[in-house]
Amino acid sequence: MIIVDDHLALLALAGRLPDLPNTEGPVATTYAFQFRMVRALTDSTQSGTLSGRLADPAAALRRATQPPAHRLVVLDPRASLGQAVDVATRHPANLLLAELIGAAQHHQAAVRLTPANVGKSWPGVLAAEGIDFGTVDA
Amino acid sequence: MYVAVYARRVRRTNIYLSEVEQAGLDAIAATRGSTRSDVIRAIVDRELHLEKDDDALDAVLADSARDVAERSRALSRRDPDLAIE
Repeated sequence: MIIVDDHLALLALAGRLPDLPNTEGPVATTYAFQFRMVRALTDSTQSGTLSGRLADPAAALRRATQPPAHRLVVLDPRASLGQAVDVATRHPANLLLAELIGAAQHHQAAVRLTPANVGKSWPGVLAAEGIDFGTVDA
Repeated sequence: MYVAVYARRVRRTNIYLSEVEQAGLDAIAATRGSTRSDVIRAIVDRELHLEKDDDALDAVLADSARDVAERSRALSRRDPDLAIE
């Protein structure tokens, strides 16, 4: 399994995910990244880059809120809550990062993010937690 | 009869179901005038959120992904739970 950020998740929803080297298995994202993605998509359909470009904005939002499983799976945060809390106690990690690492540990998944979605402290925390982490340009 | 929402190739799959599960599927099939297999396919499609292919939507989502991702960062910047810190 590969856990991706909201940028790569959007591309996965479109069936246009770039090659993710050294990974295998289904593509997934966390609930927090899905929330960010749906919020930005909603905002963009109303007043941003997607305004007027979509024949059916509701279909786009439905694709993001209920992703087709063969393209993207949204991980249930309850399954990895314990690991996420442990991460947050060991590191100065917010909900987004704690859920990401907790999910990766729980599912033994790799993490691939776009460079702009990597916080300053994230590489060190991900390494300390033993996560297979890499960045992907998109 | 269940009408697939999009054209696709199918492959035979065998699964074990309890008598109660089979009876339930058959009951629904009877009310719809369809088959047990049709009912199972409809349930699977619902669970997997499968819809008709939409190439135009795929193209717009792919083209706008970078902008939407930037918008996502902007909207989350002041959100302590969801910011990239």
